[in-house]
Amino acid sequence: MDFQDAKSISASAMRAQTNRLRFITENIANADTPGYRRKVATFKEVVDQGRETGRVQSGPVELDRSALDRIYDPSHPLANGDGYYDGSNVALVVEIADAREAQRSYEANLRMFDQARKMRSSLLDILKR
Amino acid sequence: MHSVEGETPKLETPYVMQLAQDLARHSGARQAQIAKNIANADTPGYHARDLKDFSETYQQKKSETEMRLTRSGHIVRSGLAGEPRTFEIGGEAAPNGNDVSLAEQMSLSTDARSKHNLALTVYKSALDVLRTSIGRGR
Repeated sequence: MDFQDAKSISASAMRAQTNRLRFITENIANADTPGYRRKVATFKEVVDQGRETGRVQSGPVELDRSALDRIYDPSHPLANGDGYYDGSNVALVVEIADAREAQRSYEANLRMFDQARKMRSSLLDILKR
Repeated sequence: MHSVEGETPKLETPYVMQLAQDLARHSGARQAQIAKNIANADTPGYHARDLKDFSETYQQKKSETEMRLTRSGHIVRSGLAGEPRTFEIGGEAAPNGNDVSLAEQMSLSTDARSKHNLALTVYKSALDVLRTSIGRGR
């Protein structure tokens, strides 16, 4: 384990968090799409030949299984006999909170990346004298 | 350093520099471990790990219970050779079994960074002493 490892681990986590943020964006964009289920990002550790590397990757997409929102609008083409149709199960507040969390994690990883970089460059400073 | 006839003189690194090197290596490895913890802050079931403090480990490098390693691919208890031993920090886990605390990890990484700085500074001044002794000045 050295700084190169530390940097690639942080970079993998930043990539995974970016992916999570993308799902959040998709969810928010589809908040009004009938029948849309919100996507949830999953994370898992990368295992190389049975050994844990510490790197992170996004796992398969999971769909939120909670009930879809039932919206009353008799004039909607998808409305059933009672005048209801299925909306999406996206809650904007949840998405915003999730986005904030993704951002925090991203920042933490970025800081670790920067710190590994600085430590490495101060190591190289010894040679410059 | 006593010289033996017929043997090439060996440059011995002063103990201070050796120690500083070990500390720098240790805090670098620690930094990598912390990066690992923070990267896995959202991985379900992940447990945060940390390296033992340098003051506890620097003297027991060649303990007798350790298996002998003759090449880098040999496997020791914790993984591949050359990888430091880690232990689980423990702490309250989130519902998904993850117990990484970002705040704690941040403070650990600051600690690792300042130890690394310390090691490099000591190494540099030892180097200065060596330079002065051969008359090159600073």
